[in-house]
Amino acid sequence: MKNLIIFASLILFFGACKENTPEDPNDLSAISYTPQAYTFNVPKIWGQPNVPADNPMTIEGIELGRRLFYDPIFSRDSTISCGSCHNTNGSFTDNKPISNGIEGRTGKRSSMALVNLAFNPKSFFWDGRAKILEEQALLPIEDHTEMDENWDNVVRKLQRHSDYTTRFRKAFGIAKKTEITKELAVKAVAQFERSIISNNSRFDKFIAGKIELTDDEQFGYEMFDNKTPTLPDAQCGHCHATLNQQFTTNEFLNNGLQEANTLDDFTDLGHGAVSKNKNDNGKMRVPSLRNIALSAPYMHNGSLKTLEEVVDHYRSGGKYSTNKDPLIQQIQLTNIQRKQILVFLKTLTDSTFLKNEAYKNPFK
Amino acid sequence: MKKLFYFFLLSIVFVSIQCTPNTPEPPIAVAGENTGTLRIHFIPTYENQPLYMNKELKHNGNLPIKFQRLSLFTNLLSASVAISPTQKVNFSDIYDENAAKKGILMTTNMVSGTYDKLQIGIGVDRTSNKKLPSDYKNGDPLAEIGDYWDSWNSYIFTKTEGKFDADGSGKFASGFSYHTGTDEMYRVFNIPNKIVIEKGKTMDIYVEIDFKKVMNGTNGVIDPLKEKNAHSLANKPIAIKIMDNYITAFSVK
Repeated sequence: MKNLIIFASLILFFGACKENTPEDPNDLSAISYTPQAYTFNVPKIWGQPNVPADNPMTIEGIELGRRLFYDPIFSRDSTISCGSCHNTNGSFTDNKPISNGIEGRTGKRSSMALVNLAFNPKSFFWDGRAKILEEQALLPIEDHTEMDENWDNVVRKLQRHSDYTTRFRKAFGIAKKTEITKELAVKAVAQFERSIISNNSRFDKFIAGKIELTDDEQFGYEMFDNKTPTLPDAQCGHCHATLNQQFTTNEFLNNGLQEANTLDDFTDLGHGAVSKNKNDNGKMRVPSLRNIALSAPYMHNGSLKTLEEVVDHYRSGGKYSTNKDPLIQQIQLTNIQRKQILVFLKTLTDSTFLKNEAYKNPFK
Repeated sequence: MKKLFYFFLLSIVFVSIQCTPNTPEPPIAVAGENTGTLRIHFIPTYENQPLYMNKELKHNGNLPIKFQRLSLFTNLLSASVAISPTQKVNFSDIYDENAAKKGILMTTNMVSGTYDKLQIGIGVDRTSNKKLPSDYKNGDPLAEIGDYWDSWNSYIFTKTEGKFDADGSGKFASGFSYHTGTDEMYRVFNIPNKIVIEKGKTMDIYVEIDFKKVMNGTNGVIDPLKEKNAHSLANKPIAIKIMDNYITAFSVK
């Protein structure tokens, strides 16, 4: 009995003296990881969303992406975020001809609207230099004229950030803070960008059979899409396709904006600089026209200030260049028909999209 | 009364069965033990010379023209039954003679045997043309929104686009753009030769498409000076002319 007491006391003694293992500050595994899948609620005619198999969308991933999108943590001097050039009021543009980076640096082109990007099966940027959104989101961070930061710094900042480390765990199930990488950061941003959906414009309601267009809007639509042989063909629908309701084919075309006598004469090579094919010089992405009334000024260089100027540009047949698209031809429209096209374009404005809290800056 | 009710129900069932459209999926062969491969090389030419985009050509006498976008949908048929999915033959990215000589390849796995009634469909066959781009997976040629024209309720079977020098200034400043589509414009070209597909082997055939004949063929001339575009049913006669010219523009070498 005595021995037993001594033995028990020894165990208690050594047990009590055993050094406590300090909690690993890098460890996130205590935080629950139960991501909820996100599903799109859009018409079937839109086709399939383009979501990479290695980046399925989740509520947690989208929320993390939204925070990263609006957080100036991505820029070298913490002054600008993705949202600085892509703000909701301008249909995720900054309404400037050319966007500015940190310290007021002037960028190269106008910021593109971010609308229904999940339904773009092709590449991104005006020139198509990113094949997928995850690749697109990588580039502005290290661009000298944009955020001018480097990814190693960004990752260090994110790994030290108590809220983000938790959110990365919840979105991607990482076990340690050091598992936060630039690849995961851009995956989250891409998830948020894919979740930005505009689907409640007058045009959407008309297609859904909920409203009728006014006569002017209807005539504008018919000319836009060449639906009625007795009306002029405004030639818009070839590139700004209406069937899938995205108003773009996402092709790279020369729309006659730049004058160029030879293929070497373009001031902005556009897609040619990416494809390394001279015949692509001067070609730019065909942008979606959703919310187009909100995203002035227009074109890759913001050179057209109003929608009226845009319609007049196409009416004129554009400027000469050897590879101008054959579809860019003079269009015979009366002033009334011109106005009807403009009125139709305004049916693509989705005011609920602008007010959607899910797309707004969470830090305001 | 009860009998009458049952008779009525039976009639509805009968009518429903009769009204079900009979559109069987084409018997497309999957590569396997009893199959071989047919490779069709589509070669774009203009007056028997290799054709590439932006090459300066003469049309209908002396009008300088150049093409910038040439594409067509095709499929392979045996005795009028589709044996391949629809594919897009797109010459629009061919910019030099070497690429033109190489052409565009269409590969079909086929059950081995001798085929004497092979045909090349020009356009999108009736079964596939009932569908929409959203019915296809991304990456499928028929998923491309720019190749569908909803005003026609049809895929755009062929695109023939380019520019011409209307005033002899040396500047190709005027555009032309002819699109075709709708079921009635689907055409087939009969391959004149017997094609033997041997098990596990590949057979190559070379099909030239002479675009001079597309623009100026036995079924009529397309004159960009008079009609710059065919995009709607209002321009149907031009579109039909192009499709009929296409058949005569095909030849197997």
